[in-house]
Amino acid sequence: MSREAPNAEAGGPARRRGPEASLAGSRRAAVGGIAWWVPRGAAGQAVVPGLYAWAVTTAPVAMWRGAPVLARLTASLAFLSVVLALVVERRAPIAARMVAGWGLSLCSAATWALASEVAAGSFDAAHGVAGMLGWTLFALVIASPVRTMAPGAVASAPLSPPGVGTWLDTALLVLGLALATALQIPGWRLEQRDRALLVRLVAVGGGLSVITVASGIAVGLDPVAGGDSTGVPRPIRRGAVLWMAAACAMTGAGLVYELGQRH
Amino acid sequence: MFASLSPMRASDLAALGCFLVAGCSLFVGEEALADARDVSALYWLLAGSVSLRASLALVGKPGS
Repeated sequence: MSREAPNAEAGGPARRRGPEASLAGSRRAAVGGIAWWVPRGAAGQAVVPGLYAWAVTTAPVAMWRGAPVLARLTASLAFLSVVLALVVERRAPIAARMVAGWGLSLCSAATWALASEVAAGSFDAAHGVAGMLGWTLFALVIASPVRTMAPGAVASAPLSPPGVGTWLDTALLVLGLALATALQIPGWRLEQRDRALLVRLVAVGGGLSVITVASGIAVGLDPVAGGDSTGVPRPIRRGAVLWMAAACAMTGAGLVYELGQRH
Repeated sequence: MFASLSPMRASDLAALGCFLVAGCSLFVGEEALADARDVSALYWLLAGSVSLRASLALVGKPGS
């Protein structure tokens, strides 16, 4: 079973190659539309976790009433280092990584050192845990290898049958995002701080799992990417049946218990 | 739109169903956790995780 691209001449005009080529063209256009957002280096990858860590830990200390001017200046430099790294990373990716990593961390450390004790002591447990997660993510992303898209990867990628890979992928992504967002709701109405923190942490983990599985299902439903390029139905593995049986049993038993508790 | 459903199989639809059930289970677990019903929360969160795993296994995602 060959998994090579069926359209070796993917670079030509779409109208010559039928509906599959049209789909390839539409996907290329879609990717080209968001190409400006795709990170080109480590600095680009680290923008979101870096700004999150800055917003949670550095900015509140610098914005505290009565904070020293130097603390505000270093906090601003920390923010600007991330932006500057993003701007220069196309020309100098190694320097951009250094600017983003060292600039943000050193300037944030300086902000904390210069801030008043009152501002530094105002952090509660939720802020502390959120900041710890943010800095951990930033460290992991800034130190990880750059993820790059191979030249022509989209044009030569295996294609789904027309109509399947377009609306279904979008629907799955929207559904996953909606479920992940809904999981955040219960944590916002709690007044007890420790319980709210626990619920929000579980919600974040659950949301990440839901979005990951949604993308996994989208890949699995693709007949080519899922390893079914011949169109022959794949046999359902025994493990899948066992997992589904366990899920049905647990959900059914839970429903019966919950309904029995209410009546 | 429904004509494009033809390449899907029953197991794919079951996977989507498991995914929806998993989302609902996780939400119920979150609600139970917010109400301090910890045992119930743990059960529903576990049921949601199993349902998520089942949905991945049903579509036969490589590596699942």
